Amino acid sequence: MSRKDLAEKIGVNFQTVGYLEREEYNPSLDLAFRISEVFDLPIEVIFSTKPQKPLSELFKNS
Amino acid sequence: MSKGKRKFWIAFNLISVILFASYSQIFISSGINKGSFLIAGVFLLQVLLSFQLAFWKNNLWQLTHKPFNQLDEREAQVSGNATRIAYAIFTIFSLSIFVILSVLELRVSIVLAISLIYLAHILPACIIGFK
Repeated sequence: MSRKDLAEKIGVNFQTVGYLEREEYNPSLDLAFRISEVFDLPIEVIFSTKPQKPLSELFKNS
Repeated sequence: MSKGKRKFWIAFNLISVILFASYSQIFISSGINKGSFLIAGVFLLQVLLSFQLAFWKNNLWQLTHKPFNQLDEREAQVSGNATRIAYAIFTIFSLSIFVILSVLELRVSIVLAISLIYLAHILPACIIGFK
C-alpha cells in the first residue's frame, strides 16, 4: 500500500503519513483508531511508546 | 526542493519585501524620479519571483490559506501554531514601525501598507518553511 493509498483511506494528506512513519507527528486517538482499522490490527501493534521490532521479524520468529 | 533552498528563498523574499518597502518609503518621501522608480521595480520583481519559489512551489501558501475544514489534524496543528507565532511577530514589528514613523513625523505610504499586508499573509508560511 502506498502512502497516498493509506492517506486516502484514513482521510489525511499523504505528507501526514510520512510524518507518522518518521515519528515526527503523534496522531490523535481518532486517527490512530482509523489506522488500526485499515490494517485490521490492534492499536498497540502499530503504535507504542517503546521501540518495536518490525512485524515481518515477529512473523518470522513465530 | 531541499530544505536549504527553501529557507534561502524564504529569506530572500523577506529581505526583498523589506528592501522594497524601505526604499519606496524613502524615495516617495524625497520625490519620485525615473531611476528610483526603476530600482523599486527591481525589488518588486525580486519579491514576485522569489514568492513563486519560496511559497507557491513548496505549497506553503496553499497550506496556510486553505479553509480550516479542509486541513487534516496535523496540518491544522502546524498551521495554527505558525499563525499564533506570526501574529505575535507581526504585531510587534508593525507597531514598532508605526512608532518610529510617528516619532520621525513621517506618513505611512501606500507601498508600506501593502507590504505589511503581504507580510501578514506570508509570515505563517515563513515560520513553517523555516522549521
